[in-house]
Amino acid sequence: MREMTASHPEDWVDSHGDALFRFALIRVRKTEIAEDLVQETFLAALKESSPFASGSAQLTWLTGILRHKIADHFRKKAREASFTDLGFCECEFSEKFHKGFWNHDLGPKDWGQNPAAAVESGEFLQTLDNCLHKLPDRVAAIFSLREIDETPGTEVCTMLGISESNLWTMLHRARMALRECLEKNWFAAP
Amino acid sequence: MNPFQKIGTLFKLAASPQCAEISRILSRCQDTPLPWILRRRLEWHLAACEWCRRYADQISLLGYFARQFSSQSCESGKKKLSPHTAERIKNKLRDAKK
Repeated sequence: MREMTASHPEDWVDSHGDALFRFALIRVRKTEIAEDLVQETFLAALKESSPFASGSAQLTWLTGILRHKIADHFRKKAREASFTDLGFCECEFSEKFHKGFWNHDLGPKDWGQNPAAAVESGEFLQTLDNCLHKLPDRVAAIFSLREIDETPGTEVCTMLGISESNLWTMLHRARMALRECLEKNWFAAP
Repeated sequence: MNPFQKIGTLFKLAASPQCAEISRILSRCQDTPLPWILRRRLEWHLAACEWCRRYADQISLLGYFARQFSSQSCESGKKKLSPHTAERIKNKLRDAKK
């Protein structure tokens, strides 16, 4: 029955609304913005004729439209105010280094034989979610564009109007903070 | 950044292979190909520094973690559109179709 009806735009909301909402929420982090982007996605999709009757191909098509909506949202934010955030963790990591070299008590700890397998644990993913939420909005947006969506760095710079060196600095601090947070709360948690 | 500043930065980075600077370069090489001189410096440093090798391995996992988190959350996450929002969107779609 679903196969018969899922091509109706209103059924898209029941079939794919939650998945699209979660996709947007991970990237923009605010419920109201994610909801608006999902709505804009469905309205934009309505103007095109769906090439797919239902199912995962239809979700992939809608996700493609949502990706563009999210990029437009970030572009708009960047036009309103600078996307550069160099205040985050500016001095935070200085104690990790002594005269430029790792302070061995505070440096990276051993994460064990197979740290990649951590993603099989729901608790780990929750820890990662908590750690991502500790990043400031603009830093998190840049991290998700680069690492989740694998958008090329030059494209991120053009989209957000930031310089390459500022992009690298923000990503460096995001990675250092995220690595540290995962280590403290998962890999070397007491 | 003008060409002279770029060359200056390259020399500074290449000439100071301390862990703090190496951690920056390791992050940068996730985003862009490194100039030859920086790649060599990085290789020499990593060959000798267990701490930076560990750091390199760990930050290269962060993207994998984030992508797995994203795909698993989209497929089976607990968060949902509220019934009120879902209804609002359906109404908008009905209006737009008229």
